[in-house]
Amino acid sequence: MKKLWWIILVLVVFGFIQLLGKRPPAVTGTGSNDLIRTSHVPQQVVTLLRTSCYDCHSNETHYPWYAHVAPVSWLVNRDVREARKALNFSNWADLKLSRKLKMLNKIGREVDEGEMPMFVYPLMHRQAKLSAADRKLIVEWTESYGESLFSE
Amino acid sequence: MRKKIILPVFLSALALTMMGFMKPTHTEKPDKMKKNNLVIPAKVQQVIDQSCYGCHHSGAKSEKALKALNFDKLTKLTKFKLVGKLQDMADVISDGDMPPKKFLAKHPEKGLSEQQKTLLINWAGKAAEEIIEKK
Repeated sequence: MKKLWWIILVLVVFGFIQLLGKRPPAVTGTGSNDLIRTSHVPQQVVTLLRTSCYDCHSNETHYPWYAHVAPVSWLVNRDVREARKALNFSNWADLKLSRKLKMLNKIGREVDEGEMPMFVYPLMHRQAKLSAADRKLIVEWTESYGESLFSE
Repeated sequence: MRKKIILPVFLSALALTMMGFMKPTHTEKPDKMKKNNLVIPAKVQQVIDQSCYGCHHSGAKSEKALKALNFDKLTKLTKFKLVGKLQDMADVISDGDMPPKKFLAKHPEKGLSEQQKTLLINWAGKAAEEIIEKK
């Protein structure tokens, strides 16, 4: 009997925490300032960016079902919020040139050093895991795209 | 006899005079202005030599430090890469990440004063902006 009360208590608490926390960052689809829409990104790199980066670093987040359930939702929402604040590919065309260069430099370094994607992300999204060749492709793209911004 | 002496004397005098007009180029690190036109003002160079150059020059032992930044190769970088290095320098110094705390524990004399930090940050930021504007 005591056990039953415990189970009910846990369920009530679980139900209650669903009401807490901030709303998830909005999903608005590919905007007119999106990187892929506004620049010539090679198709292979487009695929990599979409599967490994865009869930957090754009307004095109695909939330899995468990991302709607607290307390996981709190963590996911926070990560997406912070990721978009640091770099949001949906706003790319809006960025100043110096900011674009800074971001490309940072993307190259963090992808090269394996800091990105954040290690929990590929655990839950296996297709997002980047191979060494994938990383090289992204790094080389940041460099050629970065250089091209000087000759525009 | 006299004429034979006059010409060499005249020529050497001329050569000496001309040498005086030529500005002494940096004798220590001559390749400073190769690929991009990065100019490091003497005041900034002094701070770099004091606090950064020890680990960030060709021949330094830490590969990690060299991969991140090598002052000897700065002028050989493409504009994109150079801008990245300059922006990184400004960030790393303003975040207080460089020189590393561990290193400063052993070599406190290599620490940057607030003024020196500001000098480096401003220079790096301005140099990056200039490269971007001139593109």
